[in-house]
Amino acid sequence: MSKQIKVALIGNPNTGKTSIFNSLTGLNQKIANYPGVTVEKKEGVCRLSRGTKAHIFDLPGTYSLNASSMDENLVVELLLNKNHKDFPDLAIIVSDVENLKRNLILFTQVKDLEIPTVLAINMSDRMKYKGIELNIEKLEKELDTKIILTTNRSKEWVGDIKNLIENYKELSSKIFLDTSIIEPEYFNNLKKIFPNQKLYKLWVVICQDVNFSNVSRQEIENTDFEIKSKSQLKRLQQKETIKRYQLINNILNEGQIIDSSKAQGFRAKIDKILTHKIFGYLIFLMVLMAIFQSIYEWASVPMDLIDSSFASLADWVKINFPSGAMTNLLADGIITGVGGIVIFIPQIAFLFMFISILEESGYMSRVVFLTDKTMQKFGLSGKSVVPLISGVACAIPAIMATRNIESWKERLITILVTPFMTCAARLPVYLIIIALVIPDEKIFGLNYQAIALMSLYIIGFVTALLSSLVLTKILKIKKRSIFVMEMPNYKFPRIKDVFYTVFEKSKSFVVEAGKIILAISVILWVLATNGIGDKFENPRNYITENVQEISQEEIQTLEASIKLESSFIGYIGKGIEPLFKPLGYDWKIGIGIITSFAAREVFVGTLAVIYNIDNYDDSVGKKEEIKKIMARETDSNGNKIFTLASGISLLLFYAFAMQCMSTLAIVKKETNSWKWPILQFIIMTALAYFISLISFQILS
Amino acid sequence: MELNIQNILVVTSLILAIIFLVKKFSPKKTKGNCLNKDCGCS
Repeated sequence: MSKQIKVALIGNPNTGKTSIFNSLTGLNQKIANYPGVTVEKKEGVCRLSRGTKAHIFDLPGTYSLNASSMDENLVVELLLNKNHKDFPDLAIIVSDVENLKRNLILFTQVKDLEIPTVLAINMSDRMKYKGIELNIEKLEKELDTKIILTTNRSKEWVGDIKNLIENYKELSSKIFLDTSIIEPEYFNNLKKIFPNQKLYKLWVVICQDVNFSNVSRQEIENTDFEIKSKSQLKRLQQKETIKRYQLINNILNEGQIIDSSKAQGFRAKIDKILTHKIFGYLIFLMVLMAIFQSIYEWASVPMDLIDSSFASLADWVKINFPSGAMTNLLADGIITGVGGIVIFIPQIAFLFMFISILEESGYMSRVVFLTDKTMQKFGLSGKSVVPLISGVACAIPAIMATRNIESWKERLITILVTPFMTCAARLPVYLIIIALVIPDEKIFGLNYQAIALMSLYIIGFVTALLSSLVLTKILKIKKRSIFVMEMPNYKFPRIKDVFYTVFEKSKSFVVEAGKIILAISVILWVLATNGIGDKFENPRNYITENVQEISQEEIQTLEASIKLESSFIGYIGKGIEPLFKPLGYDWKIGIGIITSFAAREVFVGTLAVIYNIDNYDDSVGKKEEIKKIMARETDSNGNKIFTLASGISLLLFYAFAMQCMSTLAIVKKETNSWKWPILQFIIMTALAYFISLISFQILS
Repeated sequence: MELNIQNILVVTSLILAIIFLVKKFSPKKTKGNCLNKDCGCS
């Protein structure tokens, strides 16, 4: 078996850890959650020479080993526990060349855990613009480590890092700061009680109540050693930080020269415009409009291609496979259902691409800063903006991202309102309904459909803010928090990083949703093609007995319709129809809504299966897009089902309803109670029902 | 329903689909995420 080296990428937030991770691992990466918790775990494989592999772990961003959030706690837990299966053989500390002093605090702390450590100084291409000069030889000697200058602009450093990983045993694992100098008497006592343990590890355990290898805080408490009160421990931590800064300052005085006259300029000018209280918002709105416009314009070609490919595949299966129930299930159920969601990949990929570019370029942080004051007025923290903006992609990671909000009240409100933000799963539903009921025309060069889509995003955002305002007044929980945020530098997004984000996010969206849609499509197809009673078994007899003067073609269509109505799904749909009738929906849409409580995007797959089964004319049904079949759908009186009134009502239902089991599960997990997800589900669904009811009644 | 290979495959697919959905959405035991007394979990 080839040798495997475990490498942890550790660093402050916004230091470009992920860029380094992507450069080392390429597409050999997988994203999962840490066991038992919902913090994202990124792991990738980097191939070294002679068959050696390095497992690279991109750990959550942390400012120090004094953990104050769940993400930071995971980093500490891993670094303290030698028995952990991912315990690193080598730690690469990624730092930002412009914030070296602050980044070195974390570096020195990790070094004191006696783990072989390499310092990667990232964004080194900015040194010349910022007037920074580094004496690498001096810094390597003083910090007792190897330093690699990394940048997004070239790849020369990748080989150097790989060499260091391969020869990690030659790296120094000596400590940087002798912990006992913080308070000699206290630490010497500790050393006497645990002579075989590393002193800095013991100190981190005492400070954070984290277990490691065979010593836990409980064990320390069981000895004669007096741990000290919380406030005394805080004072010792402050002393430790001061000591570290003193040593780092001395090193940087000799190893780093900064020409401060070059340090400002361009960035400050751009910041002034982008965070301006009027221009800032105008620019943000223009950016959003440009995104939605391009989602519509650019995605149509690949969407048409996917659409025709799935139709051809279904035809091919029907022609070439032996005829029977399984072939029908494959062609009309599985391929149609999955095709109904795959078709939206281009639009979802474009959305993720734009979000990724905005984040990578540093613009997203300006948006957070810009909107902070507004957030405060609605009782939210400035930090709530990140989960809310992330909610545009998916509510699940967005809710996880609330962990860095210190105040429980602000965190809870953010968790409860984030599902109002328009997530990517709503996008397929919106797109198909908008295409059906909003005209594809332009006003002042702007497409009506694009305006409708943008309005839905704004509705989601405004509802989230208004709900926060209401919740702030209702929830009787004390709050106190301070908004602290670092503005990253502007930079051109790296195409590779944007590509990885788009690829990973689209893949996980399609794979996760695809599995559920596949299962639901199978169940729906079976329910829709099976039934009981004479009406289902012999629909032709029923027609000839009850309808006179009808053409052969009409008999065929009516037969299909009667068969579907008297199938199992028809009975279920008819059963729930009275509930949805006041909103303008027929029983087929009702079935779509019920199945999409599992996940919103299931709606499209469900309709694709139901309408495809209803349509027996191969020359039209298979080759036409599902929306065209839906557009000509009528009720028993010949009235169109998808009108402006019913379409808007359906769009609003999806804008407000809580239709995602995974989100409810995350809310339960994050609040540690079923109370909040149940309340969230009931309130959001009731709100969706009444708003849709009012809109349909007014518009019709 | 006739007993033939295609129908058997359909029934098998149906059973697998139901098992998958039940497993996917059944509640799992999780570790709490509490860090401090202000987290609301206690």
